[in-house]
Amino acid sequence: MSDNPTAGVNREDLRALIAEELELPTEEVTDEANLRTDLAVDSLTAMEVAVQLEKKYRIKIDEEEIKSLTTLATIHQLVSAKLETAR
Amino acid sequence: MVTVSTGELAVVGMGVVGPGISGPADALAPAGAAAPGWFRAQVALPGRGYRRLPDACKYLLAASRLAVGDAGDRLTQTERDHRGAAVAINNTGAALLEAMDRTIMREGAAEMSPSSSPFIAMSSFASRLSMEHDITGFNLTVNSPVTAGLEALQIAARAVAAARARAVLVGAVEEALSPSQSRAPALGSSPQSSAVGSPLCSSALGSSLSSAPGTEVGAAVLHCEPAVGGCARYGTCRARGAFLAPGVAARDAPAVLGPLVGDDPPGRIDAVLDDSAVGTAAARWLDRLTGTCEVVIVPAPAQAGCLTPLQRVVGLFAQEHTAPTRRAVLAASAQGTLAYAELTVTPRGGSSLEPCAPRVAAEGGK
Repeated sequence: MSDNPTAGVNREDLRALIAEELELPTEEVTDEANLRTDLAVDSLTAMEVAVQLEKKYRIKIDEEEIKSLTTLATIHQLVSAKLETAR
Repeated sequence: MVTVSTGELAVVGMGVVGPGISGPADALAPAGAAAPGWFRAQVALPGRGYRRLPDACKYLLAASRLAVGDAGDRLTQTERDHRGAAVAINNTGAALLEAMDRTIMREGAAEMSPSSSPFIAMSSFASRLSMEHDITGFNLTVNSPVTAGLEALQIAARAVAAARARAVLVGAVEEALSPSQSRAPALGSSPQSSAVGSPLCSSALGSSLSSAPGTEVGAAVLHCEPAVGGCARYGTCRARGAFLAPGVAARDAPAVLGPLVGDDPPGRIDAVLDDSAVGTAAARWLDRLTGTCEVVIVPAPAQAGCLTPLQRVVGLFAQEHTAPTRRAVLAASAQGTLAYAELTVTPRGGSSLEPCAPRVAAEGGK
């Protein structure tokens, strides 16, 4: 994926990555499930998610942006935008 | 010589995790080798949030779960502000810190795992324990070489005596040193291993002999309460400490160890000693108790951690007796710190332990 940013971000890949980080079955990571309130993600785990996103997609996520990692949908949006900018 | 003593604890529950150990009854057995996969974290700690923790933290949490479960619901029946934790560590984070250093040097600080980074602070092991059990009364980490586990008992006793806590998890946790950190020769191979070679040891060698040097691995946790009003399911315990200056250890041993052990020694003393001047002096002083009590010398490797002494406490409490039985554990470090825990083991028949009555509402609930 990161070798070809123009291919976009596969939402299911992203779902699998987040599910792995949160130690949850992928089906629990729905598009709109709120990481903090629905999936009990604390700030440390959110940072882990951010680190793994950075590694997989070779992007940089600022500390302030970690707060915006609220749902799969918003994460998808953020990662896609960053990859688009990097083109 | 000054000997510091504190109040008395009731031991309600116990948990121990280590290679080849399946429960408190195994805690006196020779330590098994820490073969890869000996600890099954997913079995010991089912659920989310544990995977990225350092292994040592997992040992501690697993042992604490066992201890808290063993004690029934008494911890959750205690107000969170009256719950405390005293955790002993020595080598627990050493290999982890080395790995973190390596990551920083080779890849940069940004590559450090957010989950393991907090463990740069050695108090994080006890902090995580407190998070696990919603402990908000107090949380202390003790680092004294070898003696820290028994000193944690002493701290807990002082806290309950001051009514600062009504339930304290007292733990010790250790992790193996990395190959570059482990500099100890094979146990007993040192020409100066006089403690190991003392007449006492030849008939009563303890667990560490079969361990690789510097490889204390695992955790032990005791759920303790005030002796008065608590549930002495396993028994009661007092701990005290003293200091024996290494330079004059042989000369001062009687003056220091005499008051520490007291005039009425228990039926058995397990002494965790290395081959330092302090350990040797302690072993020779204990020799005089032959005929009065059984002395079991547990040789400690040069880089010993603090787990073995507390593990001996667990093992002695787990033994069955038909009458109240007095036991003790003595630990000494090469630096001169001495710690002594006096146990009175509650009698019980068969292998079953009586459960404690639930705490009454007036004692506080969550």
